[in-house]
Amino acid sequence: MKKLDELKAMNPADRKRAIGDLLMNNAMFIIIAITILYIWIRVPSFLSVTSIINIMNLTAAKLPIALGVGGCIILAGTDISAGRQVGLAACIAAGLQLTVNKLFPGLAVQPIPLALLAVIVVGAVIGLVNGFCMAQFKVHPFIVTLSTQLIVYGFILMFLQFGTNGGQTLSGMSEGYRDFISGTLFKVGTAKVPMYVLYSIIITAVVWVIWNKTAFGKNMFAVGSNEDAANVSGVNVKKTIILVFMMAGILYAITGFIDAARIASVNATTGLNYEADAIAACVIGGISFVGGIGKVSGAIIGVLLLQVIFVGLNFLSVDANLLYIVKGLIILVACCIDMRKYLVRK
Amino acid sequence: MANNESVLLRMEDITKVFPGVKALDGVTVEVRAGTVHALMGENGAGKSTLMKCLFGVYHKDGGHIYLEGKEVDFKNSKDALENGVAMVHQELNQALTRNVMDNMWLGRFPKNGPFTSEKKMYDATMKLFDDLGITVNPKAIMSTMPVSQRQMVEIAKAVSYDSKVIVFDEPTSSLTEVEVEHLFRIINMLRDRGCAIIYISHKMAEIKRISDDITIMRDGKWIATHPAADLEMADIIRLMVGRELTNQFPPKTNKPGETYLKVENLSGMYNKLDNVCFEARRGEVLGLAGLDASGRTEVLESIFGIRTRKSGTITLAGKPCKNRNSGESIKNGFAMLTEERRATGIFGVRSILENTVISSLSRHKKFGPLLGMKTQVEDTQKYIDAMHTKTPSQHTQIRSLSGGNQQKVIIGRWLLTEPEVLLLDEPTRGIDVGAKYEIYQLILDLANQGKTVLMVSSEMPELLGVCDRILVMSGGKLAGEVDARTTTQEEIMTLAAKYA
Amino acid sequence: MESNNNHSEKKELKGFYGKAKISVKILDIAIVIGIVALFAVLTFGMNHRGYTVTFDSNGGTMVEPQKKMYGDHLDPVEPPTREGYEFLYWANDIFGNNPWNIEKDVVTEPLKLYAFWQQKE
Repeated sequence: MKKLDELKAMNPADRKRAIGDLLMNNAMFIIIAITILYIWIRVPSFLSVTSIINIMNLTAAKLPIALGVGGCIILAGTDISAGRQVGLAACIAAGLQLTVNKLFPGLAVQPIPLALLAVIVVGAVIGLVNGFCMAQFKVHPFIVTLSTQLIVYGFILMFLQFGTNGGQTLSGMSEGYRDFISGTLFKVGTAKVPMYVLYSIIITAVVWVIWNKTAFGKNMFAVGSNEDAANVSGVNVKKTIILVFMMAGILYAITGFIDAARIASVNATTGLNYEADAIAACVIGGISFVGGIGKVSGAIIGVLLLQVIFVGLNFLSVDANLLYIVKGLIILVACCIDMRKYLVRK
Repeated sequence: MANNESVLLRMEDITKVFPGVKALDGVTVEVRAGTVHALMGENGAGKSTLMKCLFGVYHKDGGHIYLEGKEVDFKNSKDALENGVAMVHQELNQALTRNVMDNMWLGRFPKNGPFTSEKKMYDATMKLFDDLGITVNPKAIMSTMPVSQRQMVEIAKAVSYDSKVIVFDEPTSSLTEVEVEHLFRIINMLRDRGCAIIYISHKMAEIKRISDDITIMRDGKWIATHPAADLEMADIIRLMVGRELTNQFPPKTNKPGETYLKVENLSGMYNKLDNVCFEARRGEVLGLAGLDASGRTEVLESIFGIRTRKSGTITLAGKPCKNRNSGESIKNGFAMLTEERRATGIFGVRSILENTVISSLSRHKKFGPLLGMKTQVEDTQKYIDAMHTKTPSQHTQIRSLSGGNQQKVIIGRWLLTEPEVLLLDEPTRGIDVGAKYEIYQLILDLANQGKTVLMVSSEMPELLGVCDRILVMSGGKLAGEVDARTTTQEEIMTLAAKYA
Repeated sequence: MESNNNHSEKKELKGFYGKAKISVKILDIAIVIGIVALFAVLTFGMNHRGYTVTFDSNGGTMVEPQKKMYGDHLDPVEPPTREGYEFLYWANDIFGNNPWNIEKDVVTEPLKLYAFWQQKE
């Protein structure tokens, strides 16, 4: 209401400009709203309870990786190794949970906490490598994560060659593991809300606390906003960068751990291009490439809106190949809008 | 002096409105050929907005600009440059990895047929430099040259466009006294050629020396234009702030006590800092003077541990301090206000609150590693009140504040770490007169509380007015120490040139 | 030095973008072009709707591909034949773990069905 009054008080030229700014800065939300409305009119079942629950579940599954990438973007960096890291974690989790283990012949199904711990350690180590190269050698995040992405992919391919597997898809995970992840949390009508939604909510809450209520979180925003000033202000910049990437690595690992059981089959393409979805979600949600700007709620909104669109386009039977083009365009437009917000009008 | 009385540039009734603010309100300024016209005013007075309207960076909402009697409306600074109106920016925009002549002739390289001609370019540059008395090698790479020389290149570039009007925006802010002399010689030469010079600066002494006319602006309005000879410094200040400012400096009341901080054999690993030794007392304001790149800043940064030391011991109250990084130094009771506020001080997009508490987060730990919000808000409010920081709220992005208010927030940040020794590097750079006085007062208050203050400044009157003793740096070495009450600017300058 | 403030406001846009110097107008144009392209792609997608369902009869007789919308059932398919084998079922993976029920299952994505056979005695 206050904004409206302010708008009325302006002279016509300023008002026109203020409205223009408002429209342009929120262009992404406007397009998404129009798209959702259109899909809903064409296919009313799109907004049925089952479909909404489905969208929620997908959002929950993709949220941890988006939060991980979000941290890297807040540091004015990025992480394009995220998808492959998810893939590696999924492979390891599946490898330890196969009932008929072709990777490690004779290995029984391992306890779930052990599998979780294993993927978290692997994720943290890759994050450490990423963060260390960035903090210590000042290599551009794009180059570092491009390299680790390749290395991780190599590991995935070799891992799938273990035993008698010969690079094939892993399936047939233990009942206990699948129940732990995809078991029913509760039901709404006939729509199932799986257990991993709960885990995702817990993880999001933990990340929110870390970002907002700890010295590490404050330092992360400070380093992203102005690294030199952070260095002068007593922030341990290197430690902060390394920790952000380690946290990201752990979040990717958890995503992979969930995905292996959620999809119930893992191969070398698991996790492929997940980072694109995550980056798109972050930028839509206002986590800015300018650095030092972003909220957990932004990441949630970004992932949710992206999933709504993808599920909607699926309802319209739009060719899945086109979705890549759509994602690319969304990232570009979202970045332009992001830049526009942080430019100062002349 | 001004033998040509014709008006070269006339800005008439210029108005510029930003949403909610009238940045310029019917400002009229006339600049005559062959004169230096100083433009003065506090932060936000509208000086640079006016210049941006002249250069077409902003679109003016009202008024007219006449150049030699013809109305002009430049689309951008390139358009202005081609029409003989040039600006020497305070922050130089140059291709640092290229050499001098590439920068001079960028965008209009002299050619031989379709190919650029190195030789023509070199000759043209040399001729221009000889004309202006600049001794810069046209083939030197920009990044290897000091700011002063880069600025000379910028001036030469303006001259090479045959500019009739040249605007200098805070040209001396990063120059030493000797370099300022050279700059003034060039400005005088340009004036004698019949150029009209617009000179924007905060430094009173300079303005008095160099300018013929002074226009004073306040709050986007034209206040007065007088011949420089008719104005005393106190008059200028009064017109600028609109109130009587009897003294530029608050009275010195601090009483230095026992020796507190001892620095011995301080040498830099990657800079020319060489074997600097000194002592500072409790409750003392110790100044560091010297030419640009004399090692003043390096002394502070080496003590604070953000520059690598080759050798050196720091002893605080008899206790040795390692100060390997800023975190350790803060724990040992040091605080450091850096020279480049924008580059190494503020977190532009973060709020006042976060900018205030970032260095003292450990104070707010409530449950294990979790931070409590209440104490953070209290601390921030305490320093907003104490420093009279003008801000809409604690959650405003710091980049939207004026330079002086940003500086107050950062000083608040450091005071929250409860420091014993404050290292202040150019604490009043880019701050208007009123805010400067407040900062001086604050420095003296801190000294009164028994804190030790080390202060680097390029403005000698400031050092003389605030400090007890002044250390003079020269070529990375400590050239001498003087008593601020008895010394003169001449004595300091002589010392500063000792190893330069 | 408010000159300093305004003057470098443009430079403040750093971070991952580098020191982007760009005007709002150009960004506006870029955004509008991007949005138009986005809608063009979506319109193209709407005009070429449908998921192709192909059949791999694993050595049996050819089965024609079908084009289906989201949520459609497949058209009834004549079971393929193969010398010396008996047709068992269609499945949507090569291992035959997920048999496809032609009457009940609905299409939700592009699909490839594989035929599974049993050798005749």
